Amino acid sequence: MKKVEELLDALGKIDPVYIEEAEKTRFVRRRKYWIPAAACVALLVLGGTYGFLQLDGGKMQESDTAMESAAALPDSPVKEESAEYAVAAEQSKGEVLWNVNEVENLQTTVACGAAPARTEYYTAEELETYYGIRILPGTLPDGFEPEEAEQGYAVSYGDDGAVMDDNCNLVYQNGENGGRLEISARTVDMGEITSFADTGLRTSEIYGTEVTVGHYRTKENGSSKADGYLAIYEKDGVNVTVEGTGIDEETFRAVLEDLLL
Amino acid sequence: MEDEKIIDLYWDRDQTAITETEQKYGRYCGRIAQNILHDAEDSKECINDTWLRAWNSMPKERPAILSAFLGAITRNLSLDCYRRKHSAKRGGGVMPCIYDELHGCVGGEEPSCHVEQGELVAALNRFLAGMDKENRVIFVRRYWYMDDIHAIALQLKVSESKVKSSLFRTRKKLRVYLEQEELL
Repeated sequence: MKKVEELLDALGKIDPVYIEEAEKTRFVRRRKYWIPAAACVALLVLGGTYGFLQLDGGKMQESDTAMESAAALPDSPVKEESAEYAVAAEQSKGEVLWNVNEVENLQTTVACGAAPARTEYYTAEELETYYGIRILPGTLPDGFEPEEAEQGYAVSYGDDGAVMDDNCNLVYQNGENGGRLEISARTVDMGEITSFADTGLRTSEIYGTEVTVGHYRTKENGSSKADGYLAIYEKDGVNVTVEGTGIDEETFRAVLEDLLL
Repeated sequence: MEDEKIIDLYWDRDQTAITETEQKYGRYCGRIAQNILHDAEDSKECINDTWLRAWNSMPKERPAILSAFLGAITRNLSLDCYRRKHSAKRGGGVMPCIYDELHGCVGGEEPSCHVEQGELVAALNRFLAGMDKENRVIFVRRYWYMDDIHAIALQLKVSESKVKSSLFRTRKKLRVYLEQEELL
């Protein structure tokens, strides 16, 4: 057998510890954004909105004010605070413990920073590799289809090559009932971020990951109310938000368990 | 499902073990097969063979790290399939580059002189143990998972040039190390 083949075969038998290490290691950049006073608009809080927002065909209306402010922001100097390798903690993948909170309001913040030096566009699969955790459901709920991102999913980088904004949304639509499933992920707090306005919420434990899950009722077309679910968690340095409307609780849970298995 | 429970299912000869394995590690193993074979049909076949091989391996074996155990089976099956299909030429995907890179590392086409695989594996483990973590992860991603440069850079959030220079330096060191160990 040739030497290259021998080496390839021998590499296949290296200590499994190194194989696992290579699978779980991610380079996590922790960044601090310094924003000049003149540009302190960087954080816009659109407080207490979701519970009262009108849904139109299951799609949330965006705030024009927020988008205009975001577009108008000047450059901001960025400083990298630290960078370190993080090995995903060995999780004790225990039983699933659900705590679904009834919530009244959700809130959206929009954080904006300096203009990026360059922007890369990734496919959904490349994006999953980029984050290093599962963000693509293995099985979609019945009737849901992915909404294609025309240019791909954008990740912006600064002059120093560091990530500035990697807040990306994967959207799945149900054409029959107007349902919508949105999976958002980010490693830096930039872009539009949805969170719970309520405090003191109980958390769920899904295969070793702590997840805050909320159920809310929202108006649909000004008349009947629809169910909405929001789940927020952090895994291996990636903040993930999963939001579903036109979807029942059991199905929403199945999506989360699928992502976190 | 937890790995321990999946392994228990194999040991109990419960066929749901295969379903659970496929659900949890189908994508993981699928990526390894696709990296090597660059062909969806062949990859699918190797994945199905992986579950069968795992079923036949247990309960004789009880893997400490199930993902690495399954991934190693997929890697071996995929490499065998690749060699069968590309005995004359190297085909597409990342494998031709990997062959070229390792050829530059261990030299010629000629077979080695009676080196036991166990010795070589032990030497590789010692070499890996002496490396810093960043270069080791890049090396294993390239030559165990057969990831392309772009995928490694994406996963580790470093530039592609950094990945390339790390691999270049590591291959050079590996060659020196294997020569010192008289394994080349």
